[in-house]
Amino acid sequence: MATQIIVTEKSQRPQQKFVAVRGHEDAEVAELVREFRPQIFRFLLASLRDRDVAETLTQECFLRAWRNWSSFRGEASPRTWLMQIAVNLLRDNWRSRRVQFWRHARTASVDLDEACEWLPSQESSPEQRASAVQQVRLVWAAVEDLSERQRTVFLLRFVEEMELREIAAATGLNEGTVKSHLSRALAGVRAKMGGKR
Amino acid sequence: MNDNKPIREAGAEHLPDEQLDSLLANFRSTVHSWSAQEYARADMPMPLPKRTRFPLTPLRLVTGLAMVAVLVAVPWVNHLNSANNPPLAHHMYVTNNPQVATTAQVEAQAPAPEQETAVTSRNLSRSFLTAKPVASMNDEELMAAVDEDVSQRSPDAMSPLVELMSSDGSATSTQN
Repeated sequence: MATQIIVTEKSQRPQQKFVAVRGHEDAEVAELVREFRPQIFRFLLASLRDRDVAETLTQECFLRAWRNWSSFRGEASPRTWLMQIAVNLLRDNWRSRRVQFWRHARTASVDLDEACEWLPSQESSPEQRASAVQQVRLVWAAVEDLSERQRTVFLLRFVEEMELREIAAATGLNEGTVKSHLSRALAGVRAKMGGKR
Repeated sequence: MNDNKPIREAGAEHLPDEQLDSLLANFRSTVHSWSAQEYARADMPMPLPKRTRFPLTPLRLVTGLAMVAVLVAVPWVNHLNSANNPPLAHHMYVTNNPQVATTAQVEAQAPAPEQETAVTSRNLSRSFLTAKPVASMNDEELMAAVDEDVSQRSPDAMSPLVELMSSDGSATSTQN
């Protein structure tokens, strides 16, 4: 049976829709890896702020996807399905006591400057750019103060630009709970910005 | 941000103003750029191992080896048993099979056909040894020898009928 993968784009947004005909499973999953690995890595990196762990979990995510590809029914988009696996891996990673120790140790010593310096130079003056970098740093600090679930929802919404129903499917929450987490996360960011402004 | 409606719904108490939208857009751009740079530095091979139709898992390997061992060992042990102690092997075979045991018991009680044949041939050969050669007999002597052999070997089941026959061949009446 031939593999047919149709990729459609919606308003310059990487919203891929895969219509996969069963057959060459390895080819299908390889296509998933090529298409979504940077995105999964980005979400895990932003959540963990640890490149090594993000790499490991990204590989594990696609390994699980490869193993369970036959059970993927296409009810959700492949991106949502992969995000669901990534969120589960993230949760397992947080639950691991051994990793928790290293996570706290690394989080305490993580250097946010490197992440904040990657602001695209759209600002006209150095002062405006410095101000924007400072604001991004404050957002990072606000994200750091969020609970794990709020952080996950916040990153899926404002970094990965997922819809509420996609976030709900990926996290296993209902849409009302997702809205609640988003509301609290935004309140936290606004409070941080207001306090430091 | 493509669709701010969910955000406004989510943050009904704190509506995101333009500054917050700009701030979140900057944050997103920063994360995307940082991630792209880290992704380029990351060493991530294709995570998919080669899928085989029948992957040789340890459990399957052990099961297969055990089956091969059984298939080899059973005929070998049977061969050893029959070669070292054939009566014992036969006894074990008969004991372990009730149907075979019953058949063997019936055969043991009945005379063997070989034995019966041997006795008959021995008697015939003895009579031939004691009798004259066939070529030297006249017709009457030959017929008498044949009648003697035939008449002496009547089946047991016919003996009551034989007793009813007179010596000259006529039937004797018992209704007196």
